Amino acid sequence: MPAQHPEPDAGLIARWQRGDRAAFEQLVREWHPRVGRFLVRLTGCPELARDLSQEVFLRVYLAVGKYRDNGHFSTWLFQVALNQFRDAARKSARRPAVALPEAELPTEAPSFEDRERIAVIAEALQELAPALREVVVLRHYEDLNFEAMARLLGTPASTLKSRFAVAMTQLRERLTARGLAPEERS
Amino acid sequence: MTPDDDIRRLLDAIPAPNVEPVDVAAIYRDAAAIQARSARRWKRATCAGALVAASVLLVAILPKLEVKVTGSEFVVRWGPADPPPVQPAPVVHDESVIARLGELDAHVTRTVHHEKKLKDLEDLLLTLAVDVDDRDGKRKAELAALARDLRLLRSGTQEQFQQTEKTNAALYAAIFDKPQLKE
Repeated sequence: MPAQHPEPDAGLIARWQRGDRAAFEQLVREWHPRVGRFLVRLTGCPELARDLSQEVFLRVYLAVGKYRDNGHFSTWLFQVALNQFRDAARKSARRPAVALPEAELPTEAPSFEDRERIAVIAEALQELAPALREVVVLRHYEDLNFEAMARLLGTPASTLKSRFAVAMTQLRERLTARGLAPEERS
Repeated sequence: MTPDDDIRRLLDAIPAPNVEPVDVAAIYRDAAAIQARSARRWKRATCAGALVAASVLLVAILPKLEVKVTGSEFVVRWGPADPPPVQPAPVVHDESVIARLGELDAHVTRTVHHEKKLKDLEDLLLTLAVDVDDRDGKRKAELAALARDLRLLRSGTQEQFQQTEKTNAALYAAIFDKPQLKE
């Protein structure tokens, strides 16, 4: 997983596995922001992401006896999160929200024009197929390389590279169609 | 600058969303509920399993079940009833019966003796029959040989007779028919 989020201390994992609630709560405090952001970017819906995030940590709590620590807690945690997202995507017939609600935008978002632009980009991202969106979010926002993504998704790195290229092409087309041609930005 | 850099720069424009904290108390509550549900499911499954086992046992035993209530006992039995205990034969002290038994023993002994004698006689008869057959065979062979000798003798005699007749005829002709021929 990305370098800015090192794996949790083995002692913390061991305490959690011994049933120490304080250790579990510390894991939640350390990891919920990242899991939450990951799920918001995947779903495009902060409410759904919050529910899924809650469900992810419930799964983590219940899996205390099943988890075998091999130094890849974050990979396992993101796999749980991805499974929750995929289950939700299968169950939900409705399209996810296409833009971040105003309340979820950082307070420093400066202008109406910027908010519009952000909404357009978020909409284009949400229009991607879930498999393409996963690759974009993991590669761009979670800063994973393709080998790490392959381990996480159980898909060959070459396939993920192809998916990423397709996702970029589709994003370019959709942003151009919405009058937000990348050339105009560069 | 790669072709994707411009797209990625646009993606960067989406700010990191604010994330609400996870409700840990709710996690504990939900986990307890799930574990309670799971325990209830296990309990129900166990009860159902026990019920099925009891039903199978009942079905296996019920046809053979026998409940008996008598004056001083209550019996629940499955499977065939035990065979009645073997009573020892009563000891007989009646003299007439003993005498009769003695007669029966003597009769049995005599019968066995007679049977032995009959067997000996049967063996003797069989031996005699074999001997008679043997002698009969020998006599038949002797008679056949005698008949054969007789036939040979008869044929030899006939041949001799024919030779004699021929000789006589020749002699007769030589003696009595010669002068007539000269005349």
